[in-house]
Amino acid sequence: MNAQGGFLRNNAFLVAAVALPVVVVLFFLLATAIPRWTVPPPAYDLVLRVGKPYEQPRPQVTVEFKVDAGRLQAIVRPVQKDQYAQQWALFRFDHQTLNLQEIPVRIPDTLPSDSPAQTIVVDALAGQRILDQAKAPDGYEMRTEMSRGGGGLMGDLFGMRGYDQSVALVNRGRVVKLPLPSGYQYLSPVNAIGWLTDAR
Amino acid sequence: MSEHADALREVVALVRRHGISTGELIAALGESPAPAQADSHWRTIIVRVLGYLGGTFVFAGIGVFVALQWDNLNSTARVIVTLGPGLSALILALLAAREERFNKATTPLLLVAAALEPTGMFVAFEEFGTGGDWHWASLITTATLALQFAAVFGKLRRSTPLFLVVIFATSFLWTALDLLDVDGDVIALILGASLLLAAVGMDRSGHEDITPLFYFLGAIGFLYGFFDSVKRTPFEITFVAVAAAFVYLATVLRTRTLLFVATLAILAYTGYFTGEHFADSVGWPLALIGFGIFMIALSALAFRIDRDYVRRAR
Repeated sequence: MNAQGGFLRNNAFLVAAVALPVVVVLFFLLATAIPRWTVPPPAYDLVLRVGKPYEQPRPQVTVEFKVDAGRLQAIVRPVQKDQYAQQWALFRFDHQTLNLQEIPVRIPDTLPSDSPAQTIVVDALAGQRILDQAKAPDGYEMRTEMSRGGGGLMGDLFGMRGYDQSVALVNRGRVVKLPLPSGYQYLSPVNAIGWLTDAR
Repeated sequence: MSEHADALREVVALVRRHGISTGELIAALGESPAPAQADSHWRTIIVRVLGYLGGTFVFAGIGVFVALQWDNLNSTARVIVTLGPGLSALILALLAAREERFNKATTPLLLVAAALEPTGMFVAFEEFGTGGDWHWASLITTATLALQFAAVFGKLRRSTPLFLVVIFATSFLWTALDLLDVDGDVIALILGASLLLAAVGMDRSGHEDITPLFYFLGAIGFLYGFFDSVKRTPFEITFVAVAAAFVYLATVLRTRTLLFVATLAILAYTGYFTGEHFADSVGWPLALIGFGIFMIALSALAFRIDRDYVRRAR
């Protein structure tokens, strides 16, 4: 027993050099694993809009998505001259497959310049109720993060080059990453519109 | 005999403090090392280089893993993965300092701790904070680390923790003055003067190995702040007097860094002055020639001051 104590005292640095990283890794694993055991996965589908890449020729209409009395509407207006309107794609995050599907929206390509705003019901979600609140009833909310990886030699060497964006649903430490489709990962703005509560 | 033993003890203390190897000592004494010692010297170098490279790759690997996984981590895991290694490095540094054979690991471990601990604290503020002024997060972080490294310095009496104390204390002071909405010039003056005084103090307490950076930053900060305060006022010319005072200070304190900054400041001011007052006149080319001659004269003077006063005294 004394010999063991003596060994630890004489080799305190070596013991700590092995034990401390192990302790950190253990805490790290626990911090990532405990929420997976204790927090249930998402129980609601999320509707989100994602900015489309720059288009040429310029789009002739702007689209704004709005939730009115639990129903999703697209409000379409003609674009003013010399303006560029950000175009949006509508996506649905399926909580069962943990995947994103694009929701088709029938938007007219052009409108007369003096035309009033047109309200279009999104057929694909007709009959489904949307809760337009940041947090889902089960506690999940969307988190978006931009990361600017180091460029240059180090970035190339360690594969951290360029811009990236990540979107995830988070709830009490559990993180569920949303797989953005190709072409939308980089600088496209992503906004949550609402949570689908009841499907008919 | 006692004098001889004292001298030997001093030599040993110096050798340990600066991490001088036996081979280096023998080479400095002008004796050629025995073949076995030369072999041992090369082996030490190879082991050290491989050790540094290995450590760098392990560190880079952990860093890249964390960067790649960052988006998938929750707040607690993010804090653990940044602050945890920082605290571990600090504990290991303290343990390494206690054992002769791991003594050399103390400095790199302290530097790793100094990089990771504030990162971890900022991550904690970012993840668990509810918004608010970033100044407060910075003040708490820098104050905590300044106090922590002051305690480490109190225990180890080494230059590295002292260096880190000054870095974090300066960051604290900078943030505090910025929070109080103090003018940028005044902040530069205060921080520059503080760093210079800290460097003088460190010089006198046997930690002269870390002072050049503080002399450099302190002098630049002070002169920048002073110049911006007097620029385009009747007192503008006093800048030359202050810069000249720094040349005098450099000879008194025996520091080449201060001499370099002061000479550069005089040159820069002369360039600014001629550009400001003679740029659009026919005298501009003549002023340029005059400025060139002045530059050569000043550099020669700086060289002489260095040779006759700074280097001789060292």
